[in-house]
Amino acid sequence: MAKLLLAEDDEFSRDMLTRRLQKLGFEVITAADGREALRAVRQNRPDLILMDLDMPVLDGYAAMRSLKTDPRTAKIPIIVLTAHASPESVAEAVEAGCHSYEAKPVVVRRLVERIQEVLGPAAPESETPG
Amino acid sequence: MMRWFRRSLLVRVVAVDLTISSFLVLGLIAVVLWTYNREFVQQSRGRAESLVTAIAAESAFPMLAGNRSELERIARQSAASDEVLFLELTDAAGAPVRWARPRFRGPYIEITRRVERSAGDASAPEAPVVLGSIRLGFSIERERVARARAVWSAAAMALLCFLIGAAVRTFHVRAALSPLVALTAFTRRVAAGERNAQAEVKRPDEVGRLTIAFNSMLARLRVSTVSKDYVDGILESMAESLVVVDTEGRIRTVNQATVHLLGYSREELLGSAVERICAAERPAAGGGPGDGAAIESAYRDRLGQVIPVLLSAAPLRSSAAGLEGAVWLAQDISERKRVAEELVRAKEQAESANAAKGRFLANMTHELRTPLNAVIGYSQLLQETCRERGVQEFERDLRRIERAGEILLLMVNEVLDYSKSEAGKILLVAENFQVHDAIEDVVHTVAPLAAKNGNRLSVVAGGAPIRLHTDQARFRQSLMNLVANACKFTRDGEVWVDVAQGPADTVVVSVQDTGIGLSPDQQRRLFRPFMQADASTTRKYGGTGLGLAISRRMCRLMGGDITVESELGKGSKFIMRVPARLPHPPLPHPEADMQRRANGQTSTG
Repeated sequence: MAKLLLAEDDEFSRDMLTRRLQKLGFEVITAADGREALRAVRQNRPDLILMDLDMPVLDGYAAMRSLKTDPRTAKIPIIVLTAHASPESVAEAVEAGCHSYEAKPVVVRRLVERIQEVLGPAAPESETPG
Repeated sequence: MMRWFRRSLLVRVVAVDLTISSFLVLGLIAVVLWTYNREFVQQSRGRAESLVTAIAAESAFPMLAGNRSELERIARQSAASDEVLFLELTDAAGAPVRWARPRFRGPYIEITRRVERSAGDASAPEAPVVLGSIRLGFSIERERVARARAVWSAAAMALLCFLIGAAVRTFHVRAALSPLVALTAFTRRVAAGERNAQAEVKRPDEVGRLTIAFNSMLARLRVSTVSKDYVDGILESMAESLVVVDTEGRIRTVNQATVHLLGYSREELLGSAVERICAAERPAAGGGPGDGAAIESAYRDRLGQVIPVLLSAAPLRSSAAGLEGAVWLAQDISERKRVAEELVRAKEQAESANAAKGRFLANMTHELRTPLNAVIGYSQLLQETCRERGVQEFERDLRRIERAGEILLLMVNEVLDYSKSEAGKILLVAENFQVHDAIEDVVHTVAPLAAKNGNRLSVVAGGAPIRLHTDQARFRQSLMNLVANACKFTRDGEVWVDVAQGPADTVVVSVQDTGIGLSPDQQRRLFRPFMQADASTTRKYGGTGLGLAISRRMCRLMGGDITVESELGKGSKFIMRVPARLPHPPLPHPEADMQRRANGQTSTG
């Protein structure tokens, strides 16, 4: 059972995505901002992080950079979720250390495919893709 | 008189002429008279001598005899001639017999002769014996009268000659001088401004040659005068300010435009230093190669106000003096500058307003999309939950919520797309694909909409498959828009999608319908953002009014374009031309990739 951290400031999106991923068998930890995300990562050691870029307190870029500088968390793959990405912001995200991107609105079926690509066979089989 | 004499060549010539003539005539008359007079006197004396000789011969005997009565008879007889004024016969005894004409006057000659006894006696060689003497007074009154008459007639003749001569000379000299007089009058007319006149050459004499010379001089004068007038006319009618500056930097010439521009009078400007009017950079006019190039400078007018001008200068040279100065030509560009500044300001304002609009749209769409994503996501979540629990009751409604959310999201994305394309933030990614595949996909996607409006949607594409190397998502998006529009605005009709190889390695996809069509005015506004054919269309057919604007932008980004051919009520034909290869293909970029997928999903979802 793969453990995911979902860092997303919008409550509805966070809740909706969490529940849909849980239905698909993922264990989902949530964080509402970058700082919370960092804390949750250190506490729970997720297998993969779904990171929104636009967050209060500490944004996605800063959180990623922080994660990548810490050797304990540097290896955790990150998929960025973003609604509007300018070429600059994407370049910055890549630089900050993300592995992949997924555009909002998130299509659950495709997000799961991406998670499986990143995690390999360890990830759970999707039963009912959205 | 003297003054008159000096001033009139005619008088002078005639006077000198007549003086000479007078001397000649008078001399001639004098000679003639003198000769005539001498001849006359000799004649008279001759006659008197003859008379005395005759009297002497006649009175020799009476004298010898002392016959006084005979002597008296001889005296009386001699007095018969009226020229004899007196006669005195004196015999040897010394008693004279005297006769004299009473009351005689006038000139006379007196001849006295001794009467001697010798006549007829040649044999007596001894000294002659004096018998008596004769004294005769002979009148020369007749000669005097004749002489006087001769003098008078000569004088009259001389006077006549003089008068005729004077008249002839006057007439002749006047005639000789008349071309000069005419030339004088003509010169006066030329001086008064009559420059096109030509002096008439009357005779090819000296005056004639003078006239010819004068005419040629006048012709030269006319040419230079005319060209000066012409040039002056040009300078004065020029709209540009013209200033001639000498080598000392002083103003030598200004034209009317300068006076008008600067508010100075001509007199104020002429001779003053050029710094008085030049408020900024002075043009170089030393004769270098860059001369004549206009620079932006400024003049200062009489009130001290600075007038921006476009100033050019060229060196002024003359064959006589070499470099004389420079000709400055200035054009008032204050209006142009003001307009340009206004334009720049307006452009900046428009740009900042547009940028603000773009930012607003981007932010708004983001803010709109977040809750929309939640709506769509929760409806999907509920559908999943329903399926899990086998509840079918809400599926249709949930599906409708999801679809409505997706349509709304599509429109929001269009606005975002548009604002991005306007900000130049669209990245194109070239990839290889088959045009026919893309068309089939699009037609398949739009088919439900076509069916809903009772339209028959078909692809007429024939011929060899065409491969494209361009941004597939943008190509599909543009085509989708055209096909969806055609289906949307056509009821119970037909929509054809045709594809063909165009000129210069392009692909031409046309979408033709039998719908409501477009008026020329509507066609003009069609591609403007937020514009539909008319306002009622929005109410009737919905949509953002951005689809065509975006599609055209996308096509143009891909190096192509979209055009329309339509007639109101007879359907429309949208033609999309796209180069087979994306010009200057940008490097594939994750953002564009992501963007494309996002759009692909939302539009097909």
